[in-house]
Amino acid sequence: MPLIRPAAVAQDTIAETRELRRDQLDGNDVHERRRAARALSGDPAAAPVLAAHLECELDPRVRDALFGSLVAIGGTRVAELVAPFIGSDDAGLRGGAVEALKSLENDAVATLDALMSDPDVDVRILAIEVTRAWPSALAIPRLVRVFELEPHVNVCAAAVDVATEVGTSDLLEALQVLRSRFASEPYLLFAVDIASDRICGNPERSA
Amino acid sequence: MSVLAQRATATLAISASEYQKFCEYFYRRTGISFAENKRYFVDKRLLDRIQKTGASGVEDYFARLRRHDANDEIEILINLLTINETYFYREDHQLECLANGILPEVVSGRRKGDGIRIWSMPCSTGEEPYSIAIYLLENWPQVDDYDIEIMASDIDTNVLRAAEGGIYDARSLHRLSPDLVRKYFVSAGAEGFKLIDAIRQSVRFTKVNASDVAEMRRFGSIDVIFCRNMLIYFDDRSRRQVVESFYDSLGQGGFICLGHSESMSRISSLFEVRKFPQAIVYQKCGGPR
Amino acid sequence: MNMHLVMPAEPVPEDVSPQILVVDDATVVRLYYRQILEREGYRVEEAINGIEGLEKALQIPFDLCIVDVNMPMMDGYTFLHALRREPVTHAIPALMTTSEAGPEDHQTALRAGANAYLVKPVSRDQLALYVAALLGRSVA
Repeated sequence: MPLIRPAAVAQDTIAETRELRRDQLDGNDVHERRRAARALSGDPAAAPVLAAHLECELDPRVRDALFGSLVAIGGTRVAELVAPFIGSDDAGLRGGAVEALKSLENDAVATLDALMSDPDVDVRILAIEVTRAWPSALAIPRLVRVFELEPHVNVCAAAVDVATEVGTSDLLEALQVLRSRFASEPYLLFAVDIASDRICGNPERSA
Repeated sequence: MSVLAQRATATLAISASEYQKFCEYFYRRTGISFAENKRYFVDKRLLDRIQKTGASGVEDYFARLRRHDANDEIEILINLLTINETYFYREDHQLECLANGILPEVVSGRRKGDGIRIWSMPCSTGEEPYSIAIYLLENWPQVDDYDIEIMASDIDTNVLRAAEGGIYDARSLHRLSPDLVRKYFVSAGAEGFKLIDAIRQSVRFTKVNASDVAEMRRFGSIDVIFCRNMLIYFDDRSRRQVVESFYDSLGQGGFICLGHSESMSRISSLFEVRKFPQAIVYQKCGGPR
Repeated sequence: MNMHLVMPAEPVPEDVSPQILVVDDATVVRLYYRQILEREGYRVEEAINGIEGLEKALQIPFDLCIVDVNMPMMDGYTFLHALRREPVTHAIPALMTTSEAGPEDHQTALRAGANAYLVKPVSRDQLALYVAALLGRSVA
């Protein structure tokens, strides 16, 4: 009979401990580095160290643990430490930073507003993506500002895409402002109309 | 007319735009699309949830789905909108892929008598791990050459207990040929059919919470993981972490099979996409990218 | 004579219009392309990132894919590399789109395996023209 009943599953011998030292973030073993990153999630003083290791860590699992611990620590300082990675050449770091800022919410507001004025178009686009996960109270005012003032068409397009999903009627007026600002841009006209349609819902209610 | 009667006759309907908006949200979250002809199917269930949650309407319900505490409701909604049954040889094209594609690769470079470790997680009431056992015995030419360990886990002790008991009704067996039923089951009277001891005792069932990193770490050097129709219910962060745990549990070159309508695209880029004739599966390759 | 004549069943008309895969993480962009392409008579499938795009391309015989550069999980360049590596998909024409217009971006796209490159936002005429050209169709 080729089927063998597996042995009972052993208890894990290496417990997740909060006692790990920061220098274990530099270890050769991925699991050790990840454990070290996780272990620092309750230590606010470790935030700069965690962020510094994002600069050189290549393993996506350890990066995830570093971002995760930063988010767990929270606070505006963490948001400031994470923000620069939005402009990284590394797609994984950019993505991790976006997810972290999404989770930080209120703590990330000031940082995000600065990112939304960044000279780099791609940074502004990613900053807008962060608002997709935020509560309406935080997201809507930022989207309004983009619709009224943002000069680059693709940044506006990114904001309209977010509005399509999370927009409320508070956005309708600003969407029309955007529509008139880019009256010669067919994609944007299309996008604004879709967003307005999704926001309004065009309810067909029976009596 | 009384107020109550008036409320009863004021029916809520889902507009075309609201339907579109919901589909866009659902597709982004799960990868599942609904064709236009599913309109009635989706509307009915959405309206049901709007009513059950006490939402004032479609917009209010959508707003609730975006809240931090929404995961329980999202799980209920996904459950309603997807087909969740378990029975023997469900999605057997994956079992075919296991025997014809995955295992031949796994064992290339292994010697006869070497072990193979397969993990069914979640295993629910056991149909999946037992199906793997039966299918391999019946269809894999090299099945006698290796020591195959099948592990099965779930968070729910009730289903684990049922799985260990190995008693199933006719509905659960409907995809098995009469020959297979005769070969692997004995009658259990009114309760249905009982799996023969040789198969029942060859699978080890363990309670595991997929989100518990320490519990998951107890499983290592796994060659193939079947994780079907579980990740779809988790939020973004949780499912990424579960998938990371699976990655750690797999040996190098190990494979993971998700449910038919599931994909790593919403979860993680850790795995390499592998196409076999019968299925798309995911493989763990070398070290860090 | 031992001939068995079987009346053929009523043939089901096969849809032979080209199938196009649109890979972009923006919902509205995919919707926009879908409307334009369906009006041109093409069939459209969508994917929100390179992983989903690759999975679909491995299962459906697309005649063309339109892929954006910046997407989470797997970006456009990585998707194209994978497409060109897999025997089943390596010859699919690919139109790459991007928000940026630098000359290096154009070269990077071509080196990654794109056949053509458009800067967003893409106009209806541009899309229809490029798609027709890449499908080898007359645009008259």
